[in-house]
Amino acid sequence: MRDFIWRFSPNRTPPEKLEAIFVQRQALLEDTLERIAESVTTGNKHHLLLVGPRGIGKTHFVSLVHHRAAGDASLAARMRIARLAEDETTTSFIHLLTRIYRSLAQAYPSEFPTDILSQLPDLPLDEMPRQLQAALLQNLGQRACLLLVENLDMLFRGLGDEGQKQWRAFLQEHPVICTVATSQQLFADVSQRENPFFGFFETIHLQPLSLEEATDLLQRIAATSGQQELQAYLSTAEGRSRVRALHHLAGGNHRVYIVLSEFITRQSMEDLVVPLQKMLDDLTPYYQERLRWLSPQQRQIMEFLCTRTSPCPSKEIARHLLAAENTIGGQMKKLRELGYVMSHTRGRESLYELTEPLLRLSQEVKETGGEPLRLVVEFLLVWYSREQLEGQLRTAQGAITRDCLSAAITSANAGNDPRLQVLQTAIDEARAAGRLDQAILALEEKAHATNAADDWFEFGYFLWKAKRHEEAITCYDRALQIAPGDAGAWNNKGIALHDLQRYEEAIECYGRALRLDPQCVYAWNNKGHALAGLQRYEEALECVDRALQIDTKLAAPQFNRPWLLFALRRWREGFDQLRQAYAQHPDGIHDSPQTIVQQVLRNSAAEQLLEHVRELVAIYAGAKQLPRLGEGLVGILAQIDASMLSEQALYLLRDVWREASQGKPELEIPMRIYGVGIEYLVKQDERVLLDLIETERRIARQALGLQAM
Amino acid sequence: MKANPGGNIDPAAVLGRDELIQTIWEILEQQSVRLNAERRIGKTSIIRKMCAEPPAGWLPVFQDLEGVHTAEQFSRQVFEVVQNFLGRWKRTANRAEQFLKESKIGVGGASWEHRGPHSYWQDLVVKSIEDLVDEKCEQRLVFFWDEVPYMLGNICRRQGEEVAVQILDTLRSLRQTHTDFRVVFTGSIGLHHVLARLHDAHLATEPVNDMYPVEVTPLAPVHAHQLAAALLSGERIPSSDCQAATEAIAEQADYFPFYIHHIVRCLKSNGTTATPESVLEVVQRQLVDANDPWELAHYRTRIPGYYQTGNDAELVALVLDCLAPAAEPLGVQEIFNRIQNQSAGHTERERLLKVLRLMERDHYLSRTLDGKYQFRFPLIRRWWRLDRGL
Repeated sequence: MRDFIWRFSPNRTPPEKLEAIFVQRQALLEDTLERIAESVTTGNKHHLLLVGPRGIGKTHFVSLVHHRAAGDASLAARMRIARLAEDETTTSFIHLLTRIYRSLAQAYPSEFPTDILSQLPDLPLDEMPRQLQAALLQNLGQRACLLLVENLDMLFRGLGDEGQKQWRAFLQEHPVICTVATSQQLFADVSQRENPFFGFFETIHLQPLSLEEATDLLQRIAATSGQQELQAYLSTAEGRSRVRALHHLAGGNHRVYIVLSEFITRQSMEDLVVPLQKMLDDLTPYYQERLRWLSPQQRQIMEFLCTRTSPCPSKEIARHLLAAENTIGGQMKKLRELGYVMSHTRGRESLYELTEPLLRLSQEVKETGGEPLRLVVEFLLVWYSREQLEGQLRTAQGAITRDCLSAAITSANAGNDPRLQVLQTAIDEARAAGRLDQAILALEEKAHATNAADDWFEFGYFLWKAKRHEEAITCYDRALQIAPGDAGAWNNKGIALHDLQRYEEAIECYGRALRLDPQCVYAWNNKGHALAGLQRYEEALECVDRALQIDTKLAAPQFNRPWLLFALRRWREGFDQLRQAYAQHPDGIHDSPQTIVQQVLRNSAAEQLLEHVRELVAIYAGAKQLPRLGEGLVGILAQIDASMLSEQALYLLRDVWREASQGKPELEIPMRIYGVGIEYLVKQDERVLLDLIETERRIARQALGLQAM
Repeated sequence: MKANPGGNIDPAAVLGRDELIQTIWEILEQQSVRLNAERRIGKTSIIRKMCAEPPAGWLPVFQDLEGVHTAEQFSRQVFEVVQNFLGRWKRTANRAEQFLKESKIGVGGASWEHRGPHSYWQDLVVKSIEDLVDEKCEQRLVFFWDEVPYMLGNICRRQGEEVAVQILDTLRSLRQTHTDFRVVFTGSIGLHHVLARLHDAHLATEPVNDMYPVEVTPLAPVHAHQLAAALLSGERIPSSDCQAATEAIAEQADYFPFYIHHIVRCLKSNGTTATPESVLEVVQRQLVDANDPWELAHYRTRIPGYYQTGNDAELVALVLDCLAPAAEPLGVQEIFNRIQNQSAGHTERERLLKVLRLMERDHYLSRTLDGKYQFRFPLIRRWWRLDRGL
């Protein structure tokens, strides 16, 4: 048999291959095996039920449990495995026993002779289960039996109340069996207290693949089939963005990935489109059949959901179907129980979507009437750029291929790019959730996908926020290659350079920004800041003043001005400016008290120091911002170069603050930390820090740049 | 040991039940026993442990009767257990086997649907037990019949209430005639509900009042801590303060072993460290989870089925609504007054008294030494408050 990943029958895929492409559930598998081992080696018997919709990887998981358990030498002598064939109908307890016995007989023919099975039909009805139970227990001997059952809900439905009670009684009276079962959904027979199997199973809800896990799966499939190039491609931003869009199509469903993974590496479009369309065509009757099992109204609901690309509230379904909302509500509950839809909660309402995205196929043929399948077109849009599609169309020969490519290009020309839509959603969600790392990943993908200056700019901005300045500069450069006249990109590049203390280059960037937009108030302010970095305070002040001429109320230059003035020892103007800045911007967000304190301490003459510090304290007290000043005071500890100052000077720095902060409870703790910090700078002995309590000590160590204890 | 909520527990791993088990064996010296307990409190584990570790002189046989749907199936189960037991000894009499031979109903042959003028099942049960008590063996057989109410319910449905009453009466008659015959009844639903149904069918009977009622309570705190610690260790769940974590688990689970297993399982699934905070979070989530994973809604949904007389169901809900937010246990008069303030439909004090007694039997309520009522389980109280928005 060809070494093949079976899409619908993972139990027929070689176990080694299943192992190689197993993702997301390693910990669950290990845990399951430990529970099986405990069931085999002690009197505890575990019964696990894995719940998840079709295609979520249940059979894959059970196959691996089977493979690993069977291969465990430590359990071999003490355990026998009965794996029931999937989808075989069971209508009574005796049928269930027969299936278990037959499965054991097939796997271990010498231990489970089949005579009993041939004798069964001749026994009275009551006698059959007794005899078969006895044979089963006798042949098992002291060993435990691992029972692997798929679709437990179907099995229980067939057993009915009577059969379930008999089965449970058997499990209670003869605790020799441990179970690993699966079901597409939770069902009343195990979840409602009045039923015999309530609470009997440890229920595990299988989760869909996340984007990272889906990428992992595709990479493993690529590795298994020796496609190193694809493996590498999937790690690139472009590869990731395509998987992200594919993820939107697949809904985290393992099977859809396995289905589509076969096609993502086809070189020629003829090799891709025709077989993909054919395969989806082949699957269509299966999905149509699944819908035929439903009642007419349920089918109608499903047909509607097949046309939707996002979760939908039942209210909207009811409106569309002209039905009462409570009727639809009841049907949605049933469809959920049957595993056809899944629900998400948004506030008070439930939103529904298909559990299996491929169910859409059931509607496609009917709807499109000979047109290319939408799924094929969407796949092409997701996996190729418009240029690539156009290139392929030029050389494509077959009519079907050309039709599909044309449909995809038409869709792309109409602005329909599912990849970008998915990316934008991911960016918005990450921003809303404050997930900078996730936003950066999606922004990177978007920038590569569009190669638009705006996207590189935004990507750079987020990298800068993450303090990844070098990478941010590269992004701004990419943006400027595309749009060299973007003053904003020059300005932002300058900021990233400034943060790397590359002031000259930053000034150059701000200059470029200002040539392009002389009214760019931020560039003026930032240029001033960069000039201050080079201690060119006069020029810096001029720049900041230019900014304030353009926008008198802008906070950043208002708060930059005071410390520039202090640097130039223009004390009165400086204090007035600080007072005025706080009067206009009481929140003080753009204030940098640490720089203020630094400039005051650095530039004041010894005899002026106390007076200046007192004035600072008065200004911050007036602005009700003393805690902010306290932070600046503690922060300054790292800036004080003790080697350049005498002991007397250091103590002076402490004493003036001690004096000026008298009667200011907000400065009590900062002052204590600052005072001990100065003591440390004088004595260079960490033991002085023991005068502080633990939390204060931690802050002091951080401020002094000492290693954490 | 790994958490195993709902699965079969190794008898050797059943903790904290030794004293209760000893008491039950002592009672069995004198009379038969019916074990009462709320579902999931661990009674099946207790009787399985008793069967696995019997004291000298006893031979316990465990039978889960929930799969029995006819009186004939039941009699057959009794007969086979007795035959197996007597097979160990030299038999002086075997009335049951003789009866079957005379009735020409083979053990493994003819169909049980084949009925004669008498109830064969009744004769078979009686003769089996007579054989059992007549045999002077070194060991005494004791039947542990689990899920008796389920069996009776099945039989009511399949063969009618009358047959269910006949079974109970036959067994009672045997217990009275043969003072050595011992049986332990257990069940997840209260036997009194099945009996009430039989009463409603005008088949008045007091078939179990000669059996000693034993209440299975949750674990003692010390044993609940031991269980929590054993499970945390078995699942290798890290904890910086194991003692605080095990105490929190035990307390939050109301000392129910089933919920202790559940909490540890959740901690394992969440991959979290065991701390009092993480335990509290797990329990809070379970209590407000829309899917109700602990099926606590059963305490509400079963009310109409359990209390079918008049508008008793509504009265029960009102009582629970009164008691759930109350800071202290409440006396009958206080409960009565509060209900009058909420509803005009419950003016009979006697009715309230009757319902309160029934609620006690159904494990909703317990009484303090001064006769006041409170929720039997704090966990259920917490859930009721959340569920009803009190």
